[in-house]
Amino acid sequence: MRREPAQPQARAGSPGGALARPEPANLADVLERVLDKGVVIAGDIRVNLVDIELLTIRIRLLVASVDRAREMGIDWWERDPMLSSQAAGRPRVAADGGPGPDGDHG
Amino acid sequence: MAEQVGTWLYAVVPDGVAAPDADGVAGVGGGPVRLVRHARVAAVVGAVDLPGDRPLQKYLEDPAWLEPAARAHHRVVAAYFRAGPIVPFRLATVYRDDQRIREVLGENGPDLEAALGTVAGRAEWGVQAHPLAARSPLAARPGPAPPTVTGPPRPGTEYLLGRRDQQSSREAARQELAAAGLRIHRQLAEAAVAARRHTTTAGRSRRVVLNASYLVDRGRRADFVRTVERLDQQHPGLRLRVTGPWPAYSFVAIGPEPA
Repeated sequence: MRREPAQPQARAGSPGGALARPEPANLADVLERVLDKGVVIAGDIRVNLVDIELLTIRIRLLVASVDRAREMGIDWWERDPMLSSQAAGRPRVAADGGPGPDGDHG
Repeated sequence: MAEQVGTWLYAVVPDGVAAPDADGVAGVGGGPVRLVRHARVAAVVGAVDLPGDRPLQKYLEDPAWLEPAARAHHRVVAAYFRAGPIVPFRLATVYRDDQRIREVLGENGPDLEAALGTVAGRAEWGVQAHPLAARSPLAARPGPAPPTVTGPPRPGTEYLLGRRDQQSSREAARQELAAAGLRIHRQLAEAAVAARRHTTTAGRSRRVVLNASYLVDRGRRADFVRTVERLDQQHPGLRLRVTGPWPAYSFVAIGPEPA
């Protein structure tokens, strides 16, 4: 199996400034997969899956930039008492620029 | 302080796999990863220390711990993904010792082999669609003036009526967007071996029209990306975002589907 390019978005490009092209994955993309997907077989250390999934949603909002989140119409976190203080002071935990989907150079 | 030590299970790969990219890759907590072979498959594992007496759950609820752990988990999975088929496990699947890992491999061997067969030669691609802010019917329509009194809302009749009108037009726009999302999803699914819409995050954000993963044959990768580009051009009010190639996290269900 051949190695995939680390930055697959470089291959993109369609006329008219098309926006569809592979982008680097951000932390939210990674979390969505490692927390919510994958084989689920109970380990010896039990964890509460529901809580983890809720956390995914919250972290997804923390990792997107505030502008990006608002652009996408996501703003309810501003009213979440658990998050509002953290979010205000830490809007960019890890915006785009983490490892690509295949994990190169994380 | 007590230390809890366990064996973290990252993924299962075919026995005998050679993964040069995985040499020296650091696992969760920075430690090395290794293989535990049993029943014709191999588990990618590593020791994990949880210092202190906090249960694993508490670590998971701590973003400062979760972020590097999630990245490390994915880093290990991705390193083996570049070498061949891989069945990733959910983050934080931890066993007492290697013997328990072998038991899990033995109990699930046929299912794991079948899953490896499903993902071989394929990769997952993620596609998200959301309305462009400027063209969104939701963004274009201002809401009714909010109540002037701060604190708990004290809506008057006028406010409620305006709110109702706004809600019905919002509902129409929402349905239109949902239909577009479904159309896009169906066409992408035709270019894929399997497709799965994600509900966890999309369900909470009002304007994510589509958030889905597609399992695509390696040879059809260019076709798939072209299909995304075409759909993006056909929907000028939407922005499509594609990420990949991913290990097939979303297509490795073992046993009965969760309800």
